[in-house]
Amino acid sequence: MLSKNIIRTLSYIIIGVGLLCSILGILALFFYIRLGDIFLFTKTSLLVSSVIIGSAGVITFFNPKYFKGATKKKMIGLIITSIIIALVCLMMFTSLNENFYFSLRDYKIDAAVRGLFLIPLLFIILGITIAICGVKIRYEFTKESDEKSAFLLLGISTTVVLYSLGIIIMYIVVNGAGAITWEFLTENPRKLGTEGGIFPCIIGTLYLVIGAIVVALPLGMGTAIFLTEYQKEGKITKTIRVAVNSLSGVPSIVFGLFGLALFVPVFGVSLLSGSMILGFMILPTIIRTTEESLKAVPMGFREGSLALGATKWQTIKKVVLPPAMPGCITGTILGIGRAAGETAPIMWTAVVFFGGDIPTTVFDPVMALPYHLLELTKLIGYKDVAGNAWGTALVLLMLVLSINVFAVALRNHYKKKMRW
Amino acid sequence: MCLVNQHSGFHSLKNGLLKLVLKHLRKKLLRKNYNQTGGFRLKHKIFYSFFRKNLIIMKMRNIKESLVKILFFLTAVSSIIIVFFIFAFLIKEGSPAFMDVGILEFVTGMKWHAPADIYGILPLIVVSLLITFGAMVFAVGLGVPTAIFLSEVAPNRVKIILKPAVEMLAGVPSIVYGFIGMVLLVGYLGPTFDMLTGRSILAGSILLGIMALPTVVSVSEDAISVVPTEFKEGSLALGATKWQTIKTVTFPAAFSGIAAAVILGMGRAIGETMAVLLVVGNICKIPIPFFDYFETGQPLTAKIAGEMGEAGRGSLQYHALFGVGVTLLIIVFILNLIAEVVMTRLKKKWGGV
Repeated sequence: MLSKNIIRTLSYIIIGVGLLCSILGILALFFYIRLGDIFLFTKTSLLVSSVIIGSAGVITFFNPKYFKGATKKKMIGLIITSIIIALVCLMMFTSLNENFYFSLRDYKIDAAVRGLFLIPLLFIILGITIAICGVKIRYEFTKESDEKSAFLLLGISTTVVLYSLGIIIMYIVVNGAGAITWEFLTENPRKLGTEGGIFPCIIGTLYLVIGAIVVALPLGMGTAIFLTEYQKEGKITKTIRVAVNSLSGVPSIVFGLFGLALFVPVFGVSLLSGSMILGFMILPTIIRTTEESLKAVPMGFREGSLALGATKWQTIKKVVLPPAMPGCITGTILGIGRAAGETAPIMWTAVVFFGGDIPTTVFDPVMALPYHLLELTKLIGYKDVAGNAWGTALVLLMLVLSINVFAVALRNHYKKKMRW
Repeated sequence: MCLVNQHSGFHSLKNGLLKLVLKHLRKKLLRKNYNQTGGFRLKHKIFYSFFRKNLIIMKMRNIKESLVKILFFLTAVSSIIIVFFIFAFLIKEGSPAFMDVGILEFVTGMKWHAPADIYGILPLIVVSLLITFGAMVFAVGLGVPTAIFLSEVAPNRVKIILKPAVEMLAGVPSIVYGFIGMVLLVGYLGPTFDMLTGRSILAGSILLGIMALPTVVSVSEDAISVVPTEFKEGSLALGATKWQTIKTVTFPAAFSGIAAAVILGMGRAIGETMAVLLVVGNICKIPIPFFDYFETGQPLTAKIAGEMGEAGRGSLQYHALFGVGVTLLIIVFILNLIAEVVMTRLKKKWGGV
């Protein structure tokens, strides 16, 4: 019988091989790395590891006391897994290598596709399975081994999530950074956005956001104050809450339709229509965050103020609102972040792609970053706009993300400060 | 002696009566006014009522107070009015299409051909549902394990950094996702699966799945972390491992919260416009067979966004697009209603804790 130390070292090697294979698979899947010689190495090492795992399973099957938590049932599972892995690896050595056609209805996935997609995917799955088997052997099939392998899977999914979100941000930053120059930020777009900059779009987005705040802040704060300070929980508050919840569930394109039907006939395609629509859209965010921060103000503050003879309104103005203000501002900033990035609500109500200058009155149409990006994206492949599109995407992303970072930082700062 | 005399007889009777009346008044006013004014104005009212000048001040104050209250009430009602207006205007603009085409033909029609005034939106609904289902498979398959990892397994230091980071990503504008999907995802899927352009329901599903990830992760994480610690401690004290506790105690307890998160995410995904407009394609048809994710299609939102620009105001096409909007709104509302019901049940379940 092998000593425990050797078994441990072997199991660590197996875990390493499994994870390495799946990482190589991911790299091949996303970056078109031809596996080549690595391909031979990975499938050989997978085959060897599966043989080791299988033999460990067979040995333990006849001598279940070798591992602490081993049972015959678990060993059968292990042996079957290792056989499947070994078979798949062998298949990669022979038939899948040259002329194995995988027919998915009428999509003939040919050799190139296999190299790009199927084989990397197989490597990822097989690698993870091998790694889990290694973990199970390392912890001798006890409860602990279940826990470790489950945590390994959870960790892998977290990595995938962070990786896929991170890679999107990274791509935009890397590709967009090249397009951003002083001229790009300060000039008007020319020739359908292929030349020039995005200055009017930035200004237009700022105007729209300011307009949205002017509409939404008084309404939102008023609603929140009414709900928390004036009205006892009952039918009225319930109705208002249902309305606020429904408003937050309305898809952004429906806001666009609404604006098209109600505001455009009256105000035309203008800054005013767009601001009102965006304001309505961010209303629920502002109401919710303000309400939360109002509720966080202790009852004793209000009672103290009222006991001194102050009226309700005086109490709200002088005592309740000041400590609730940071929360309210956070909500507003989050709302700004959302309003700045939305395209669908303003598409037909406020923005134009060209000819839009910096508006002089609220009845003028504006240009906006998200809509500009949409139009540029539609032109990709017909005109040379890719560079400007990446630049616009980066500016928009940075604008929205920095607004959100600021809001969250503000919230955390005041959360620490306000303890009673 | 003298004092006693004064207080006996008429005077004492008068004083007693006054006290009684005041007491009664006090009780009545207390009951009536306490909730609205905090109860503290009452003392002043009784006190000042002996001084006319102050009474006027009181009245002015009351008027101002009630004016402020009315103002706040009006702002609070505004959201009800907005929701009502959204419904009213959408139905008003959409109804000509329902009238002309017929509601049943409109919803079950297989063909959308604007020049011939043929409007059927069944393909749009089917494609929307397909994309949403695919997106949820991606978002739940990756998002829920991530939420469990963040709330139960990851060390606190990691969690403090990662959770705000993931929440931050929920704010990335959908048009940015659409742009990335158009440039990277479609470009990748096309050659990989030997498709014409790479625009497909699959592309939309993957993109919306990635978009929904931050929401699903952060809401599920919240649902898991509200499970009372006593439950976990009890399970751990009985000798269960951390993973057994998660599997048998924490996850089942948080399940309805996670379900609500998923349904909310579905509502978001089905109403998402910009990303799907760019990556799914614009051919209005049901894929054959209907689960073929490699086909192009056109969901509800992309139809509205794609055609509204060229539809003349007041034409039947314009009204039909509003009809699509009404359908979308109804689907989203049903989903939100289900999420709301699940959430309410959750609150009842943990209400006592």
